[in-house]
Amino acid sequence: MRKGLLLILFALAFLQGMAQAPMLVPAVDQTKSILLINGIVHIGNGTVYKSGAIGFDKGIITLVSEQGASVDQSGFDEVIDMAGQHVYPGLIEAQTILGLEEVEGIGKTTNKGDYIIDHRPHYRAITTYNTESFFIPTARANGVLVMQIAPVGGLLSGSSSVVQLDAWNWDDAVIKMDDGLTLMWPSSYGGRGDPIKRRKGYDDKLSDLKNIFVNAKAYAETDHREKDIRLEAMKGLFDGSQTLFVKASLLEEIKDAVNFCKAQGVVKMVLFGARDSYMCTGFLKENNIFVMLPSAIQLPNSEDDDIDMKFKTPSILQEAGVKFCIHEDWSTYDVRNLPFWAGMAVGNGLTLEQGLTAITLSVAEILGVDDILGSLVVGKHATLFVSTGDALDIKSNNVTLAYIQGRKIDLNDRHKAIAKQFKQKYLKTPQE
Amino acid sequence: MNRILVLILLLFTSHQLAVSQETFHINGVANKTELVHAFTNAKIYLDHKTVIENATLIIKNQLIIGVGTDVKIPKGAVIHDLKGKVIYPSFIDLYSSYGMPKVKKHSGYGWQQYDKIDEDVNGWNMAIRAEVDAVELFEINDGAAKGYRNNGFGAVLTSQNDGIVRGTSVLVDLDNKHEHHSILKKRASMGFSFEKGSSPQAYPTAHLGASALLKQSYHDAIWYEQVKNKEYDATWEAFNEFRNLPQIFEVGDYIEKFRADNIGDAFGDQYIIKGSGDQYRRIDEMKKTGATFIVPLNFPLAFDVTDDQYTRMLQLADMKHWEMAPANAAKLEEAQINFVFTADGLKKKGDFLKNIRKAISYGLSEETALRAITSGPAELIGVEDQIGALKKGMRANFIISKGNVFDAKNVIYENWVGGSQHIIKPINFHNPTGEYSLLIGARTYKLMVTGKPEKPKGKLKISDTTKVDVHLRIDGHNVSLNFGIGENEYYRLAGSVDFKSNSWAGTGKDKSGNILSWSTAYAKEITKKDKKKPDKEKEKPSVGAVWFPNKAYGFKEHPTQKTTLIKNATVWTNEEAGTLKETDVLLRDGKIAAIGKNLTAEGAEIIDATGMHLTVGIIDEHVHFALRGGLNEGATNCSAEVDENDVIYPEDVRIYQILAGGVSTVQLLHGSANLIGGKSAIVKLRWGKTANEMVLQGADKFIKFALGENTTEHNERSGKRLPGTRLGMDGYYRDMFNQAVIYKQQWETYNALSASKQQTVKRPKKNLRLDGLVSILNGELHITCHSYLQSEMMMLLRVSDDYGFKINTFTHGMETYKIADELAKRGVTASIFSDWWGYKIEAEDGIPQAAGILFSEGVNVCFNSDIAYQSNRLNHDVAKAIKYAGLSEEDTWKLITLNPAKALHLDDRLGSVKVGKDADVVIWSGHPMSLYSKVEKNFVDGIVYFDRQRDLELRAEIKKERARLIAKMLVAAEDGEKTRKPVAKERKDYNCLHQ
Repeated sequence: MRKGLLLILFALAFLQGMAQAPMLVPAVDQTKSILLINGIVHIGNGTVYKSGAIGFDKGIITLVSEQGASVDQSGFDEVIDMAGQHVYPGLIEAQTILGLEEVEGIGKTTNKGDYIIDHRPHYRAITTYNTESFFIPTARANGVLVMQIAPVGGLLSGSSSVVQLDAWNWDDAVIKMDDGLTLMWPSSYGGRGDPIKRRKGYDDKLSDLKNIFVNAKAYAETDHREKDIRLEAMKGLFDGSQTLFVKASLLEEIKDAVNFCKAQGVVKMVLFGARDSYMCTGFLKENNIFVMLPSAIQLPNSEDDDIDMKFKTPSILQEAGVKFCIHEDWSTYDVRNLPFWAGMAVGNGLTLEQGLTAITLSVAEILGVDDILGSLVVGKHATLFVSTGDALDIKSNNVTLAYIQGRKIDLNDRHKAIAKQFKQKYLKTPQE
Repeated sequence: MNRILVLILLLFTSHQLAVSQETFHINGVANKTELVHAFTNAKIYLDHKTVIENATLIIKNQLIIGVGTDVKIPKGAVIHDLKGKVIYPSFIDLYSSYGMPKVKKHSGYGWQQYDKIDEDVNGWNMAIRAEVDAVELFEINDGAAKGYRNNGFGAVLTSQNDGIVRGTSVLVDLDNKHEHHSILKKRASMGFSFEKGSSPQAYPTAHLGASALLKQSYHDAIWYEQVKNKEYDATWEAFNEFRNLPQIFEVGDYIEKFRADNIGDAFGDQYIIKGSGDQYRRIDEMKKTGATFIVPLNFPLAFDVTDDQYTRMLQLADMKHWEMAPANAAKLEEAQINFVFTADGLKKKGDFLKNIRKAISYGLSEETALRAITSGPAELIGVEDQIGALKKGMRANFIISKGNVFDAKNVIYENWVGGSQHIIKPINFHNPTGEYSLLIGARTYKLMVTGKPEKPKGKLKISDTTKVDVHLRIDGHNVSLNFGIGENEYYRLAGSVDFKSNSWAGTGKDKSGNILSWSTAYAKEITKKDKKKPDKEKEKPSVGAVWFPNKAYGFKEHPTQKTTLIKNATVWTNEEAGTLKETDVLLRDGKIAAIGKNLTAEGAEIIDATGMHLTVGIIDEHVHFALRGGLNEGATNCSAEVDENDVIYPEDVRIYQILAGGVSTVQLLHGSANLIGGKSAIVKLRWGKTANEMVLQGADKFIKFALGENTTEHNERSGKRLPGTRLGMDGYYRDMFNQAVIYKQQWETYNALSASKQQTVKRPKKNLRLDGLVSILNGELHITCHSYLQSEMMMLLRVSDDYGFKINTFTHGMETYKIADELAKRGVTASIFSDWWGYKIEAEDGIPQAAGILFSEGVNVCFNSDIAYQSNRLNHDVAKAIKYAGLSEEDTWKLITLNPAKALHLDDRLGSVKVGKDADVVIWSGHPMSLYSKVEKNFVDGIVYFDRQRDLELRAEIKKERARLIAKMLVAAEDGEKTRKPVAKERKDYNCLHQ
């Protein structure tokens, strides 16, 4: 016991020193209007302007033009020539634990497992979101500027919120507070490596879930003097003000989950995990279900599958007309690779602009923030970045400039600082 | 049985069976009469290939005293007239645990039970049980014996099949009198396997360790034999004493068979392989090993494929095995491989003959089948002069059969074991089934008797549409029938059976009690309506082709090496020439033969690669797939004795999938559970080949070391294994290398002595673990070390300095960039990740700029994958060095090609497009590091192992084959074959982080 305690103290001391530094200073509000001209402007909805212009003021896009060279520059305080560079809407990562989990290998810092209760809709991810997490700058440096942070664990895990990635604390990071609830659909099959074996307890879990939803719906229909904080937290599901994000993987689970939500009167449902979604595109379309696909990089689970089964799932959904986006599933350090997961889908059937849409506009639509984010359109937030090359391909992704709500953000991160530090060491080494 | 009894018993066994045994005083009436039995007029199988008609067999006590067409029946013999019947030698099973006590499960020991729990004189590892002697454990179990007897068996070889070395077996007959009578040959064979069984000891945790432990056991036994003045050890005494016996090695599948073979070859032993019925997968290679097989008949059941929800998850490999398993024996026969059958693994012993029959229908000859259950097994354990055939002087072990034992309708009447009669079904047993005409008074009905002969069911046919049930009972000669017709008629009939004419007659009463007489006359046999079936049985069932491997993406025919001229590609040479546009590359005899413009080559296959890129194949310095039975031997902090080459799994579909990512060579590393891990396997991804064929011959040997959290985390979990802290790592390395130095000196001193002097001193004991460390000290085994922090890497470098060895590679090497100067000076490779970091404390300082820093300091840098699903896209990942580390494209590409080749000391044959190097080249649809490019073709040794076009064909082939087999299973189910619930296997990948 004492040994264990010492270990934890040691780990915590380590974390204090490492996990939060080096802190970057959030940028101040936009005071001067800015015009980016002559860049290759990717709107996010599939349109590209080969040499366009984007202007923004007080954090809001005020001008989008296809003719970058001939646009009227007079109303802008600062004009920047982006010739040959690409301009993109800020990338949006959804259902992430970035900022919630510190170190994956140390259970107590992951904030994933709370095995004491399965249903905790009143838990709020936003309260744990650490704006100083050292993973955040690395994600920004590759173009990820907005995230939906979400709880993990149990069944009804709690509420998610949409945040922007340049803030002093969670309160000023938030863009949309408690936008949805996360439901980890129970595993129906699997266990011991056999996906055909039905899991014990699946039906019990479903009936528990049904109970709480039935109660919540009844509860939502009238006002209560004596509040039930759990049911209170679920009210938004039944009037559409909150979305239910359901993680389900296998075909049977997907179908069960969709039918469950319909039956319980959940107005908006989004599916994530969704490993077998390619098998039921018709069903998903019929039920108007939006899907979040995890990083499509894993090899198939079954040896008989097409070897690129997971890589091509996005293009199968695209072709079938199912609304989908791509996100990094569960890991913190890989969120910075979000553009490349889209790139991988481009290498496997999507067009470049479809790939971009899958990590910008489609995410915004699925999160219900497409009125302010997701594409470069007048009136939306000036949350965008510039890359010298194609941002979706690894070798050419090179972000040189990024704005969040018009604020020019610092693109430094822990890696760059350490690299700089150790380059110093070798400068001091005398030449032999 | 206690030892004394055994000793007494031994005096009488083996060749003294002729003597009637009397080892006990008899309480009761003494019966000293030695009756002779004569079986006359029978068709007799003297052995599997010699049949005589109208012959006589004469036995006295346990033995045959005469057999033939011309033997004289002694007076006073009990005559058994077997006209029309057949006598066979009874069957022999060489793999069973009949009469053995149940293996005790040790409970209450945790996963860190490093020491032996028993205090005895038997070896140090509880999975090595050479001293276990089945004859001491044997007790008759008549219930089990009956199961064997009823299906024709007369004798079985039995032992407690538990552990890696399983001790000796005993050959027993299946009589039920007394153990003394039953034992035919003690210590008839010795048993082996790779499964540690009931041993609660942690080591070995993996098949890796099991292989190493077996090798070490051979060395221990050899040492024990050669050295005088040593401690007594019952295990090694037994091991040496019984090593010349037939050695039966149980393997899980054909892949393990090759592994066992490698060990047997190393120690000059040829095992009899107790296999799993999948030899057909590699029949040619099986033939080459020269082994004999004990083959089970537990053919898998068809899957229930009626619900697509589950059917879609089935794997082709399992479906193909279902189809092929019954054809295995025929394939063995065709290849002239010696094999015998075992009933082991059958749920019902009754399936034994049924499944042999099935094997025969797939083309196995009856003669070979009979040999495989009679003289074949007898020969394998050297008792062919006692059992397995019917000759004068041999044991009276035979069965009396209605006809051909392989006939579906055959009945075995009697099984004589050691001269004792066991009646299975009375010979004069009356089978009443058939169609009769029943005459009651003046009326005639059709009576159908169906069902089991012992429990017949009757039905009366009144008209074509009306049938009534008859309550029918036949008990010996007595027969009774009760039935009603309509509401008004009811009959109760009783009578007797005339067996000769199979007619019944008697009297009865009708509903009103009127007495009437009745009789039946046998009309004919009832033939089943389904006339398809008999035809089907005659016809040899067709089976699909064996693929290499026999599963999804297997090849119908191995792709071959061809002279290939690739035209007009952008060639990334990795040499001074850099990247060459519009250039041709010629591959010939597995080598790169020419590079240049406008090349021509006679007879070459031309590939137009205009607009495409050509590179050398990717080399992954560190990954874990295509391994089986665990990649860590974590039950010890030093497992230098284990070798991943022992557990290569050549059928892992990841091999194919990773070929599709442009990889040609990988180093399959031991995990990172312990400070000194095991030796690695360096393999080329020759998909479809065997494990041995995949190994890159001539490569230097490497061993995995590991530092940091993975090695100390055992402490967190319960804490018995060193090291518990980072401080302990240094301490442990020094302890081990100190031992290695002492061990090395012992051998050097011993080897320096003259041969005669060597006789006078105690020979040092060969220790494979320390041998591994000595190889390191001698510079023959190179270290690749899992590492994170600079402090731990510096520690290991200092240890290596102090003991005079070198570190070849720091793999993972998260903080190698912090000691780049030190690594450059020493020529140590840094084999790092592209951008992994932050998943644990020791990974906090992982930076994607590391490659750049290391490169500019002159360190050989590689990127590795660690996990299968990174390995297939190393070409993407490596581009992160362009993005973050500022390397040029050409230097970046070398991180996964030339540099790992250097790290593995293979840069003289691999790693660049250069004339004379191996023809391991990849054609890419575009820039090799772009996410948007694909592998068009991947050549290994000039052979196209992955081809994008062919991949599409294989996918179609898989779908077709699945559909064919699903349809076949549906038909099988309709034909009454039993089915089972579908099973599927999820493939999980392993890496050093999540072991």
